[in-house]
Amino acid sequence: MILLHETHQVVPGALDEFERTYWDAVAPELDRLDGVAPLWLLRQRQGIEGELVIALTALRSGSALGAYTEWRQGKSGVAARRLAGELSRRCDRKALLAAPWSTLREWDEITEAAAPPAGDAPRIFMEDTGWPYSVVSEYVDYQRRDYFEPLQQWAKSGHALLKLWGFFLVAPGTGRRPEAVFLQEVLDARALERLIGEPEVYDPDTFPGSYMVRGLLYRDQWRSRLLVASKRPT
Amino acid sequence: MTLVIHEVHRVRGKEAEAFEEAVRQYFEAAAALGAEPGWYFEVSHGTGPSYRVVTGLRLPAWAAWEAFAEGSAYGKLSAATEAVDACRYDSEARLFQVVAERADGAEELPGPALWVQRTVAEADAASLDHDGPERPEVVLRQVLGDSPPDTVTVLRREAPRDVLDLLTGTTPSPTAPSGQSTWVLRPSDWSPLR
Repeated sequence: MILLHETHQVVPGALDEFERTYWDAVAPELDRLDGVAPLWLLRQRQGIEGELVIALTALRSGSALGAYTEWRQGKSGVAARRLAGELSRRCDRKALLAAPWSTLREWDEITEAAAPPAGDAPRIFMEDTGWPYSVVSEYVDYQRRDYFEPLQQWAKSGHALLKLWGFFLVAPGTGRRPEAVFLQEVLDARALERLIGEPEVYDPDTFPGSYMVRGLLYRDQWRSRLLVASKRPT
Repeated sequence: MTLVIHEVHRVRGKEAEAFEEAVRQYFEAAAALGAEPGWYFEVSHGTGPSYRVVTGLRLPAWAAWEAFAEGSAYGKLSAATEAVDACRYDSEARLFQVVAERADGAEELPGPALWVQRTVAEADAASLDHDGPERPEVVLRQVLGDSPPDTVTVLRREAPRDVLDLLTGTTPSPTAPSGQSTWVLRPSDWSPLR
């Protein structure tokens, strides 16, 4: 499976119109394409980059990316082109490929991921984008060993603060290399208060401090974005 | 239908020769997945950043692109990709569809040839000379990559004197549409586009 990742830096003040256009005119079109599924529309109303929307679209295969491309370039894709043109200051589009050990690698995982939550609380996501200076395959292995697997153990304990939806490399030929992306859902918003409010002091011997300290062997530059999932109108 | 991976590499200066060899090895490894070398250009001295290389890799179909991407990220091509990584700081790639190519070959030019790459909005692409003597050798439509989306990129072979006139001219060129970006590129001696 391929995850199409489209980042729109929205024209100031146009965020609501952007969301309406996506749900009313773009998502129904995507639903009609074979092997294409709108996954999440994630928005940021305030932040370093201003109003921002990330549209994530699941594609079953390279052929589905071809079908999506043909649709977007044709008459039916006019609303999608408006999102990237009239309603955005900038639009960057790349494909993501999940690591072999990651979730969101198989097409049949999409149903669970796209399912709306039971309650009314907004879904908050944290997207981390990292640029390793180590050998890429060693960085991928470090993320599995020092982050993904400890998080899985944490999840089993029932006290997880984050759900890791997937770890991806930017598909070669579609963006920057080296670049990797984590998509995580924040399960306990109170944990964010500690994250943003407390100084960064890491214990190198216990998780997550061990992950942060050892991570400097692989990279020291990354970007985190807090994003809220836009609800699809019913 | 042909796809092209167009990649701009920030090369480590001391590794420039090793980088070129690593790219050749990488292209050879990618041939097993149906990929073919498209071009290997350096940004011409005096026209832009140092140690910047532009490569093109052709793929015949979407399924071939998927196999190539998966192979480069996690599979059989990852070692060759990492050998290229070792010689560069990073790279920015865009995925293109080939819209048109000159089938009759490039005309003879006096002396060495340069390649001029321009990116224009799709709406302005109509101003390109599609059929006349000034038509570009390659016309590409962007599918994925960084902004701006919905653009057309053209590659045209030019003589250095004409390129200099283009860069230093005080009036718009009658044959070159105003581009959002113009790159002057010098082909390597093994580049298929020369």
